[in-house]
Amino acid sequence: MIVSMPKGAELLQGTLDLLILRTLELEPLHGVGIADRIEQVTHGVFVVGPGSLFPALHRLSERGWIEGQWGELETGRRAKFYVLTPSGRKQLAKEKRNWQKVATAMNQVLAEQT
Amino acid sequence: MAWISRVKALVRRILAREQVEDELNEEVDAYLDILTERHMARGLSREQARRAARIEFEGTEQVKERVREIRVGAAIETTLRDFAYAWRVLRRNPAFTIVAILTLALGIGSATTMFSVVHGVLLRPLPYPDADRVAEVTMNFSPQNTPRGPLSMADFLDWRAHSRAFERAEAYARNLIILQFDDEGKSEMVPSANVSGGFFRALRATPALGRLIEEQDEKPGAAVVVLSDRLWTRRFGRDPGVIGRVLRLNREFTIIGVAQPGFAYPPDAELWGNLEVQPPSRRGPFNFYGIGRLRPGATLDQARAEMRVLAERIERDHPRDYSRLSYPLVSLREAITGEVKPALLAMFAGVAALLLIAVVNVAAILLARAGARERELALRASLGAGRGRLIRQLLTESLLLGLGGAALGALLASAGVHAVVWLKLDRLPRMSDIRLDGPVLAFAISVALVSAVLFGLYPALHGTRSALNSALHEGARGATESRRRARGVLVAMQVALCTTLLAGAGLLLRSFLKLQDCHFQNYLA
Repeated sequence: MIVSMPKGAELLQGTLDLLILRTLELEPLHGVGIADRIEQVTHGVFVVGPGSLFPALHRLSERGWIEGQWGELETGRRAKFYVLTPSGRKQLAKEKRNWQKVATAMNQVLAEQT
Repeated sequence: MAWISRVKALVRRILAREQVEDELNEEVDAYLDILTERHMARGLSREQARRAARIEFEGTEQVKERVREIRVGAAIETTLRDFAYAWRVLRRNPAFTIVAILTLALGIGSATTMFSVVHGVLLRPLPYPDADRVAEVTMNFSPQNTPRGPLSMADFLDWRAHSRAFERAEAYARNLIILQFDDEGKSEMVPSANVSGGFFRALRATPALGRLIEEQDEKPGAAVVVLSDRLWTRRFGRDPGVIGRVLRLNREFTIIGVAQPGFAYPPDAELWGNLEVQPPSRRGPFNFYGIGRLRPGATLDQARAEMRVLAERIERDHPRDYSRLSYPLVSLREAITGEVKPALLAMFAGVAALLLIAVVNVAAILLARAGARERELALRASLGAGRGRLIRQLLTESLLLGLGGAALGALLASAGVHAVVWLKLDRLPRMSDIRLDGPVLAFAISVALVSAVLFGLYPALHGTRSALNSALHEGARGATESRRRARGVLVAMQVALCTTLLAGAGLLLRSFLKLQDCHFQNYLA
């Protein structure tokens, strides 16, 4: 998984999936919208380029966690909007729990060492 | 239910391939458009904005390719593409393809023919229920010293009287009968047997018509015969009215029944007459083989122990007739196929060596061709195909050759099996069980797959290595050098295999002659 990270942050395997699912939890978005939102919310720590975004979106669609629907932009341009499916919502909840477990554990380790 | 959505995606991709591709294109275009508009909003011209968007996108084709790769069934698509490519390569080189397939077909065909014989004779279950509970009783004593010789009537009756481990103790004597048919004046020799009353019951045989030989037929003066299905078909046109008719042999016999198709014990017997069981006045002649079915719960080892005790007693009672007496028990399968087993296995090893020679030959041709294909492989390598990808491609070609060889080989084997049956290879038991069927074809295909890997792997590894080398610097000498060495190894293997095969063939011939000899003596006895 290649994600461009200007500030040197390494993205863990599966983190991009979690970011996308979380982003779509709020509202359906098209590809550029998803990339923008992730950059915005993480204050530019994660910049997701199309090279990683497209494969990730299609992989999540294959698993049935998100669904692509064609919609129209304000300019009248057709674009594919991605929507979180019910099974995607379940998956998100699961991954959130996992992440929190990992994050808590990591924080503890780091706190001990400093 | 992630897999349901995956299957749906796969089906959609197969059924609506173009639509899926169009959608991917449009999705990518839309993404580009949005980026372009954003750049234009910052004051760039349409042209400049477009270029900036493209740079930001990191290569549209690469992104699309990565999306295609993560799709379910991408592996299937690649495989199909490999096969299509392999097919084109092989078709473009008909001389090579034909030689390779013919070579393989000869190897696979002969191996399959031999396997169908081995499978039919040695591996296929015997057509008798619970055949592993049936044993043949033979005897060995000084001065005759035949390891599995026949019994005398006296020995048979002693065994029958004292056996505990067997629920039935029966006997048969093999004969060759000359059948004469009045209406046509033709005669033929028919393998037959005289059997005691419980013989058919010990083998759990049932009649197809009429009745089989039973206990009452052991009485002196009875003269009845049972026909095999084959004899009934050949000589009586499957006429049900045959029951009760009289068959004139050395005296008149009444036909009482027809056995089930496939029942042929002793091997190849086509006619069974009753055996008159009378206590004899002396221990001889030695004409009879015992046949017994183990009592439920009794083991063959118990039966063997019992036979040892019996042998001791009889030897004690008849010191002038026997010394070093034993009654070896032989399983039914061993009794039927034991004699031909070593020869069949030796022949099977022979055709396996033949197949290996074919495989080595094809490997040598492939290796020779690797030189000619170096440029093609180098080109594909420079276009981004990894070594694994190239090896996979070359192995697909080998696989296709192997399958072609298997298809043609199966045809050859079907002719071979007919030839074996038609030749009536002398005294080969269970001829009617030899045929080309599912397991035999499965064998042919597995052999083809294994061969394909055997002859394809080395040339593929070798060819891709030198292709990648010469992609870097044209005409690397190391490649030619190692190819020459590899060819030397293949030639050496071939010489070794041929020598083994020739030596094996010589030994085989000798053991066959011995076998024939021994049969001849059995008939004279």
